[in-house]
Amino acid sequence: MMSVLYVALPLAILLGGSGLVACWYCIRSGQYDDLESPSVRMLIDEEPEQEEGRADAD
Amino acid sequence: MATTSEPDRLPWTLSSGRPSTQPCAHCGLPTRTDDPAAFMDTSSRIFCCHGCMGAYALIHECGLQDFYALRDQSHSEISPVKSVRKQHVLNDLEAAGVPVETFSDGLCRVQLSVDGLHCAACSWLIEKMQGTVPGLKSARVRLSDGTLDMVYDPQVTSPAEVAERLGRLGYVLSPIDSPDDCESADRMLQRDHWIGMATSFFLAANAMWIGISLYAGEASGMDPSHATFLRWMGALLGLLSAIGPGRIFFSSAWTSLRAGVPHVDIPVALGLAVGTVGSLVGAPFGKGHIYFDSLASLVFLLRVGRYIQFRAQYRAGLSITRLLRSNHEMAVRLEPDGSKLTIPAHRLRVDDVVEVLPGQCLPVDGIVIEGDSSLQTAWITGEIRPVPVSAGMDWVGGSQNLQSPLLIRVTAAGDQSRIGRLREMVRQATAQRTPMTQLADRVGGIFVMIVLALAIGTFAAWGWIASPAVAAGHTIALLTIACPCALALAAPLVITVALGRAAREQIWIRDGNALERLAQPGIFWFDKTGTLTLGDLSVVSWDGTADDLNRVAALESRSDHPAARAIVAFASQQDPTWHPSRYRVEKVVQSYGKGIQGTVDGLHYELDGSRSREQDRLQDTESYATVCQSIDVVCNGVRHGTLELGDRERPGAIDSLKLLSQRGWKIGLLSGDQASVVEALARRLQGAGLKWVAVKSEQSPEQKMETILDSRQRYATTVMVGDGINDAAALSTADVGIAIRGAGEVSLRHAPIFIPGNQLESIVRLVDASKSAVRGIRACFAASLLYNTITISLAISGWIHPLIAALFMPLSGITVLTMALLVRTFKTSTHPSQQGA
Repeated sequence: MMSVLYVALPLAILLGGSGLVACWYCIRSGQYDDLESPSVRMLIDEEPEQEEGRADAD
Repeated sequence: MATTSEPDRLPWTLSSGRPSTQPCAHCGLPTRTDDPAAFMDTSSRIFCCHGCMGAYALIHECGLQDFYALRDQSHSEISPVKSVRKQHVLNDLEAAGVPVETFSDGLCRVQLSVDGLHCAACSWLIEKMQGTVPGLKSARVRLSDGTLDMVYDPQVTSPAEVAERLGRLGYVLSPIDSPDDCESADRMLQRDHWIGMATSFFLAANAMWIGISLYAGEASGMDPSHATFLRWMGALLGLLSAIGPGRIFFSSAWTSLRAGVPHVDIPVALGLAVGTVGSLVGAPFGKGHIYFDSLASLVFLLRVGRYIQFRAQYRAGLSITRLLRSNHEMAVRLEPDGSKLTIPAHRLRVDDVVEVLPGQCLPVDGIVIEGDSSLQTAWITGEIRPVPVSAGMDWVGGSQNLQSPLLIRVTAAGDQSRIGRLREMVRQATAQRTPMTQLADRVGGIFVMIVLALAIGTFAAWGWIASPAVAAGHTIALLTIACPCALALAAPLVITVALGRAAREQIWIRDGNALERLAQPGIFWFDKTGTLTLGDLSVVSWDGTADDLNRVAALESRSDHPAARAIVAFASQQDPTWHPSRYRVEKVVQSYGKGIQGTVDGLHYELDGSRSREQDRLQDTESYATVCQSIDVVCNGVRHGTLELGDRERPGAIDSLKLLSQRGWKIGLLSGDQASVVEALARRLQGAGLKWVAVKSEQSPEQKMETILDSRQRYATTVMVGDGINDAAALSTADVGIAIRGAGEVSLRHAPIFIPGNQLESIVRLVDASKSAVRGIRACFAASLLYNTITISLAISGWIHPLIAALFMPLSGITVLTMALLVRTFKTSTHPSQQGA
């Protein structure tokens, strides 16, 4: 019954390992170089099309 | 493409005036109430200067006013837009040596450094500008290292155009190409750290699951063959962790062994090796304790510790690199066809003809072929008096041209020049220095020896009394519980936390060891010019009326000469309401080498600065000054007074030095300036109650280095504090080099500590912080050793099961980490002088 372990465990590690390899790829391609700008960039709304001469938001 | 300075710009920030209730609409600095008409736009918004007004108008023109809301949200300060510097160098990227990537569709991509970034609002603004500049296809800002990555259409726009537009907003673009820009290497290193952490975490997590299954299986009676399989898998993961992410500990331990210098990585590597062998040996027999999981998680924790440490130093290094980049020296080279080309100064070659504008400083040696001017050589000689120069005379690298444009022919560039040779000397000095033995290394080394001896003893004793199996169990429990990880982590953590706090105080520490070294009092060597004195020309005295001074300053505000700047600064210091716009200045004539004349409010003023002299004096017995120039102020033909200019003692210098000597440090003075001037300052400080160990004057950079090397033999810790190019070698040979102020590029690159805020008080705070950091490290060690003594004796006597040992191990780690984080360095209370900028 528990002999499934012999297949399941290496398989699980292999699966996790592929995730790790993907992670390596992400790091190598520079996605983690800047952890500051993206974190604030997502908070910035895309502004709607503006009309000319709108009152200044000051 | 001619490079001229803008005629109508006001290079001085006017923020020193009386604060008003209404802040500048762009940068938020206080504006001046007395004269609001000066910088008010049509909607009666008030600005602190022309630059900010222009930036505000431009932002609104582009429909990007959301910037201000975003800025307020992030509680960030925007610096006032001082002046629009034209970036001619960006016109010809190829000549500047900037790599430009060209795509198949004709678009170009380039990375430039951005100076003036503060927060998200800044990156938003720059990225949004992309929509308003035709031909700019994309612009991405990286806040972490201050770079702009942009793609543009070279047919439509150029980087210079983008730079000009951003310049109007107060952001300065400059090329990234300095010869040893270590930044990309550090970025690679950061990636390695990330990969190491990810891998070790993956392995640790899996090993831990297997460990848990084994413990659970032991309790519920697992099939032995399954248990063996799980052990093998776990051992494999542990092995991978040790030889994968754990490899760096072995290699650095090996290097330090070969160098004969004890390092904390030696006990760490030993612990890892024992764990690896143990788990491999334990696996086939299916018995004994399981420690591959502790092994893997130990590797992970150690890697995280290393990363945190790297990160703090990387950040400090980054801010210095960024500073170096924005201070890029540019040179205007005359091409054979008569045109002018702006290139980075380090790309100059022998026989190039260069135009040196007033205010410029070049790192090459040469001969003046045209022009009359005076040079500021304080950074090389420590002497603040301007040196007159004319055709046929030498130009020594590192001098600053003060008055009028000069044409020079380069006779030595790069490594051949005076600065190049100095730089080479500094590099050799840096390479030769032996790494200091850290506290953690010494304690760790002894610790690991004791533990090893005990382990062997335990194994032998229990093997004698009971069986080898029992002996192995007890020995392993001992080795597990006596893991040096707390020792290895505590010191770097305390130091790292201190580095972070130091950065908040505007003290950039690139090398954590420097902090540790400052804890042991030795000797402090101070440079004179620019360190103990202000190092800039400033007004020492004025014997005329305030009205005359105000009008003269209004006249001088039209000039870019350092003396003029000093007079303007003096006037606004004497009378905070002073502002050049309140005076009608006409018919300004500047004659280089002599002075300036013009009409202010109908009165004709003539300033004669040709009289240069040397004199030391005590100014109202409170501070000391060297006078090197007198300017006679003649109004309508009548002499109204004399302005004396010179170098003044830095305010607070005496107090800082006294505090240092109270803390047991010896103080020495090491200057390149003339003996009479140096000794006068020494006498004055001595009169104020300070004891000098040595006062050395007229020192060449080489002699300074000799002095430092000599004092390293005699004192426990030798610290050098300096700012000039002539201090660079001394800074890098000292146990701790502290570069302050604007510091020369060479000094900046090699001094482990940089204090841009130029307050000597910071040094005292640094010394105090270092003391408490080392005290904190000692406390962590003590706690860890106490814990280890108790648990080790329990393990030796066989009271502790290996399983419980494994549970206890992280506990000791957590205790030490908590203690490390609680160590108080840089107390925040006593700090009145720090400005928010």
